Amino acid sequence: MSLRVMIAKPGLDGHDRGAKVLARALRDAGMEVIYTGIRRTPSEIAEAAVEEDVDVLGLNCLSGAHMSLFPKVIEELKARGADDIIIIASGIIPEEDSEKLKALGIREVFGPGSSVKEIVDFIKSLDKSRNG
Amino acid sequence: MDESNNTSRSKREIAKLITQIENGAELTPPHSEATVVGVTGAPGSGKSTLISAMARALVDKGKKIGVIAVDPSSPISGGAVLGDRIRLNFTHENLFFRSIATRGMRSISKSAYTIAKVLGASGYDMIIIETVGGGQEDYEICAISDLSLLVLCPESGDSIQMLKSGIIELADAIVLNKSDMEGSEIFYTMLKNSFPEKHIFRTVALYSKGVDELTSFMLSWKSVEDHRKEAAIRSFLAMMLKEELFSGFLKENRDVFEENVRAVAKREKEIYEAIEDLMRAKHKL
Ligand SMILES: Nc1nc2c(ncn2[C@@H]2O[C@H](COP(=O)(O)OP(=O)(O)O)[C@@H](O)[C@H]2O)c(=O)[nH]1
Ligand SMILES: [Mg+2]
Repeated sequence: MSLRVMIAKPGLDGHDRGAKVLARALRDAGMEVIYTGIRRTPSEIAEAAVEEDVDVLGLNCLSGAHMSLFPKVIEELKARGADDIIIIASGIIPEEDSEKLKALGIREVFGPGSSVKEIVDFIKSLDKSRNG
Repeated sequence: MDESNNTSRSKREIAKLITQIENGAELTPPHSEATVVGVTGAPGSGKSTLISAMARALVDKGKKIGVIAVDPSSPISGGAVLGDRIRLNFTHENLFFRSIATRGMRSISKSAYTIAKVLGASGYDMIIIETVGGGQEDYEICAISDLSLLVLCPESGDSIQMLKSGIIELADAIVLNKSDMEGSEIFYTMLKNSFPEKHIFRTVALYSKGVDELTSFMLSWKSVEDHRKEAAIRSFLAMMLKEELFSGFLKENRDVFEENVRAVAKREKEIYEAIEDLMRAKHKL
């Protein structure tokens, strides 16, 4: 059974080369990846994650607005009864924000300098634990 | 599994049900009166952009719309990048958009039909299916849709190929998208002359131009019995049957099958020898 992953970019940042590279790497690891495109609102992202019934939601933000946007996505998912979706985050996220985001329920944060391989391996490890 | 009509299902419940169908759960497609619209056409012709614009117009007309967007699975990894949602520029409580992968099928996934019926039984009025759009032989979709639209655009060189035969004969209507582009006028005249009996629409999906007319047509469409449908149904049934027989074969012979794949790839065996060996394995069943 293929793991379903959604890559989403909340907010105004329009750079999505990294997101596309990650999407292809996840495909090559055998996953079904839904990419939402740039500039989505937290509520659009949560609605899409519900409709697509994804196992993992990857949030990417390069604009620095992650501390306001990511918690909103978490709230919107909760409001839809979908807070069991595993969220991971990547982007230009400083260490101290990273801890705060994890405390809010984001499973793992990949800051600047993280490689695509690290992210892929992490999601793969989630899949293993899912299948017991 | 509960297959009864249920218009009070939440999106979350529908989404979970679709996942189960995709993963092979036995489910008799429920009865549904919803119109199923198949959208096909070459990659890049603007199917997803058009579907986004159509969905917007239909939702604004008070309809509940389901979209099933199919993209190919990688034959190597089995994974897929499902990118049709990139063109969808809104979400709405009356719109359910689901991306699915072909998972080994050619143009539409095996589960697309059942998913369309489930969406219909869950209260959606019209279900739009976007196919992979392989080319002129991509016509199985016509068998499972009440209305099939072929999307062409002036820039696609292979649309000339499409004009010859295949999907263009079976589609109920043609949408000439990207009408803002050079050459569209000439292309339109040519289509009109070659297919005088067909409904032909002109759109600029990017700016929702011509979309109102198209969606009004979709809402008033009554599908009629005709001989064209038979060809599509034959093709669809053959495809499904092949799939069933092949998965039955694989259940018993996966190792033999993979051995033969490797042997041909390593040039230890000719491909026709592999076929003969596999046929022998089949008869031993
Ligand atoms: N100029 C122009 N471009 C369009 C139009 N509709 C879609 N496109 C562009 O065509 C490209 C492919 O569109 P997409 O909807 O993904 O095509 P699909 O592969 O058939 O689903 C995108 O870059 C769209 O922005 C149109 O009416 N006019
Ligand atoms: Mg598309």
